[in-house]
Amino acid sequence: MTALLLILTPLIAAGLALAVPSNRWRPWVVPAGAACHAALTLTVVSGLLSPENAGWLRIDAQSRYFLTFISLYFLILASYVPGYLGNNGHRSNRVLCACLLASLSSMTAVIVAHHLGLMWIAVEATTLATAPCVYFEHNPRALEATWKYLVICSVGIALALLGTFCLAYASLHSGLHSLMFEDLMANATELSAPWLRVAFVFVLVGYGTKMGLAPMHTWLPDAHGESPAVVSALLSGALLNCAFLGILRVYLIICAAGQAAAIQPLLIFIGLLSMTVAAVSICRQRDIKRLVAYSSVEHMGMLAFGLGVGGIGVTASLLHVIHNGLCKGVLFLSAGNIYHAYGTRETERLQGVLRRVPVSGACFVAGFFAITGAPGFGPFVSEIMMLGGAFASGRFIAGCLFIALLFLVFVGMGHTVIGFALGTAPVAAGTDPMPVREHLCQTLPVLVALALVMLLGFYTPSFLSDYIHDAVAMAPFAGVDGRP
Amino acid sequence: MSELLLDPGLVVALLINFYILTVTRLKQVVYGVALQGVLLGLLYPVAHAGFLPRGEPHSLETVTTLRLIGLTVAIVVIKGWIIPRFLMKAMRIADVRSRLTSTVGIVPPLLMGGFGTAAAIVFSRSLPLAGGHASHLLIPSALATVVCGFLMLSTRREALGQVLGYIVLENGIFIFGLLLVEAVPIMVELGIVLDLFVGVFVMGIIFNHVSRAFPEASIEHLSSLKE
Amino acid sequence: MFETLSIHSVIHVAVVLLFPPLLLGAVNRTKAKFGGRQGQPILQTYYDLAKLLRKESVFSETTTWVFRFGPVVGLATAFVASLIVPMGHASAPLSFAGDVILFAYVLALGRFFTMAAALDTGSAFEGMGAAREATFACLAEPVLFLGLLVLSRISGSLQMSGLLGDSVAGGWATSAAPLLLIAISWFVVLLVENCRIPFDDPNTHLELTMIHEVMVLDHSGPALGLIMYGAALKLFVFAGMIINLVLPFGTGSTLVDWLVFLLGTLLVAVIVGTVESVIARLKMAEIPKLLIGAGVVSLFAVILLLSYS
Repeated sequence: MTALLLILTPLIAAGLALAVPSNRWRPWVVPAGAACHAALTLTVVSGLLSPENAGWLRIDAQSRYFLTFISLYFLILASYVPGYLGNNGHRSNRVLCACLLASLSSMTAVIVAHHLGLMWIAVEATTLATAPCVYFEHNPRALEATWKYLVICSVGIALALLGTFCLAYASLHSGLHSLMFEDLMANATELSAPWLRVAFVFVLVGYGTKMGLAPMHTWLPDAHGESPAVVSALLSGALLNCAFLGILRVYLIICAAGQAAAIQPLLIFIGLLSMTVAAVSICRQRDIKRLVAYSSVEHMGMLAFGLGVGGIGVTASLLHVIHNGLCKGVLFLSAGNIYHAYGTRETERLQGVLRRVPVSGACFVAGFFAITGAPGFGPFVSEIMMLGGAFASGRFIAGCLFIALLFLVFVGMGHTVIGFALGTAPVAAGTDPMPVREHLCQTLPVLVALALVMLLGFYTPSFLSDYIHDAVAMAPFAGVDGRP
Repeated sequence: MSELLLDPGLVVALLINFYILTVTRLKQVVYGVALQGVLLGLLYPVAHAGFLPRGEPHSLETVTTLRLIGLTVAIVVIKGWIIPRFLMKAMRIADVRSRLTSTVGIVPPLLMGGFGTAAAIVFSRSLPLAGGHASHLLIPSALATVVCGFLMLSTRREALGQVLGYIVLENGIFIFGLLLVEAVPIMVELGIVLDLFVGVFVMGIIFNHVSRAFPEASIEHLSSLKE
Repeated sequence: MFETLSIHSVIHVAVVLLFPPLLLGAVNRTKAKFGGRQGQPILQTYYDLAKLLRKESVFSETTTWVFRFGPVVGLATAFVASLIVPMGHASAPLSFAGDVILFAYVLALGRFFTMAAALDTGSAFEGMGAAREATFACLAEPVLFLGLLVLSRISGSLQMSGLLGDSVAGGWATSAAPLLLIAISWFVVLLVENCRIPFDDPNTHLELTMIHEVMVLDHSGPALGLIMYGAALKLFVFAGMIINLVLPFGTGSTLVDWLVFLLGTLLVAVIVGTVESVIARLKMAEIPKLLIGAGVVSLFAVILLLSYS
């Protein structure tokens, strides 16, 4: 009942957003809905409202972990929405507002659904709910991005359905007749191993498409580049992680079945491949939002890498979900502010960002340092843990490649970012060289996210590490040390 | 009894794959896809009856029977009537070319479809079948249909051709679902059918925008975003 | 045993010599009925043959012996092929282990000489026809062979009389789907090998659209008669193979078996006529597509058969 309430709250808010007639007041429904959802989430995870764990919707350790993050992250994004849409007042935002809330609802459903078929439905629903958001600008480029997003992700998710069916068949084969995550985990050793492996390959390719793993990532830079800043941040920080949860669940089942050794090389390979593709693309990227989008591809590759490494790598991946998500929020939202100030996303024409938009510019630069793994920020912690996992499990070549790629990304991204951050603002005709006035409602969410990233760099709250410990405890081999 | 109907039905479904890969007139492709959908919808109760325990012919409860009839009707209506009508309407409104074109010609995808079918049959022999699933064709035909849908999707130049490829791919997954009629609850099944339907619907809407923005709704015009 | 075999052989040769032109008549009559016409007499092909054989031949001065050889070899090979295919639910007169290979090569030899004769005229049109014939033959031959492969897998024999014999009847019980697919794709081969609509129009009047007819434009008199008879024989051979495949059930009585067989081939001719009446000729560029489609279908049949075991 609680879980259902969590799904329905944003959906009702979405209905409300559709009903509100005023273009000016409608955006405020989004933070209101997000606040309700966050409040409900906090009561659930703090134990005030204990969810009954029966039926298809359950809230276990992983659900709590992802739910807490996504609910709070969405709240940060939602508080950015009214200010952002205030700048784009000429276009009706009815569809955007409703779809943002609907995507929160479907993401919640992905997290709490413990029936894998139901989870698939929810993942497909997130694609359908966010596609109209990507098309918000209504220009040919946005249209192209939306089409690619819709077609490539739909096909990918269809393959994930095939993988889910293979899993169901493995369950049928052992006489289990169930697709519940808990049942599959409990009886994992009896499941048919060939079917499990086939299922995992399909699920990895399927949800991996949605997650943006190379070589299925082609939709990701387009969709992130052409959609509004807040939608990019939502896709990158929350939606990709929901797809990751899909892979994680099946991964845990495979591990429980004792088949981890068969699939880990695949995960490491696809993870390193994504990082390589992203590193190469970042080095010659001339579009600020696509730059950050490729960084998402890189970090999704890291998540896969962490799973492939196993042991402490799984813990690191789970931590990295939050670290990466928050950094992407900082980067995309501040990139949106920069775009608004300059009217262009091409890095050649962005000069003196630190002077023109001091707060957002500084946030973007800080976000750049955070995401590339500079010490003092959250991602540094999780990346070090992944490396530790890789070396601990004896995968030296993979570990060295990981370091080299991190370095390449740092250099490639740094070259571009430092290039446009410094320098003087262009004094072209009609442009104002003076600093643009930045509204608090557009900088505060970025600052909050940045503060969280910095906080996580020094201190992992005990409730987070407890969740991770509980979540990782499901994977039998991950008993090295679940606590970061 | 069910094997008698199931296997020929699957063979016909596979033949329709080849037909869809061969013909280029958009109307014929839509009809082919619709025919395949209807055929699979009709196979649904056949497959279900086949997997019930032997020797208990009267074990079908009323609820199960209602579920079977309801889902069959829903699938046949959606796949055979609503989606084709919708696509035809989209075609009329968009005024697209009546023929599909392919980036690599018609013959290579067709040959690859043939070899993909062969590979699917060979591959699925390495997977163990659960007891009672005597039909050895379900898994290969599911994989082969997925392959053919994917080929169609990746080689056709027109946006509508891609949507049709997606539907064929879905049909392949549906064939696999026939194996699972007893393992997947009805709510989930309904949700999947609905989701896929809405997916096609949203694609259709975006397609209308594409056809308004670009002449002939060919995705070759969708190439401004690349590295 | 020997006696019944020889009776069969006599009937076989007699039928092969006398019956085939009737098929062309049946095709033409069907088309006439579909067109709402009275149509030519059903025996018209016999009259034509008699007329042509009585005429004298005119040979172009530029041609060599190859040109004269073409029709003769074409007829001879078709005749040999017709002796290899079993008819009337009995073993064929010319039958030995591995005669499948002979069958295929004999047909190919006939085609080669027809094409060589066409090229020998030095005419651009005939060369074009020969090129098309070669292309389509390349695509049609795999279909034929894949079908034979299926049948030999079912019967475990490499002899045409064994392949298309009693084992087919058993095959329909165990693996109906591959056999059905083979029957369909063989019908496509029949259409293309005998230059029928939708691949080629035997009655066309424009050289540019012709395939087979354009190759024999320069032949006249008895040579043209031989070609016409060879074409009828070829149609009969392919129709016979399909009938063996579709109606492999023997009644026990020689007479009834032969009657069923001959009526069956007439039925195939009627179906050919129907197809010619209801389907338009394909564009030249579409023909390979359909042939490769037939090839994929027969490949599928082979795979399907292998999956049964």
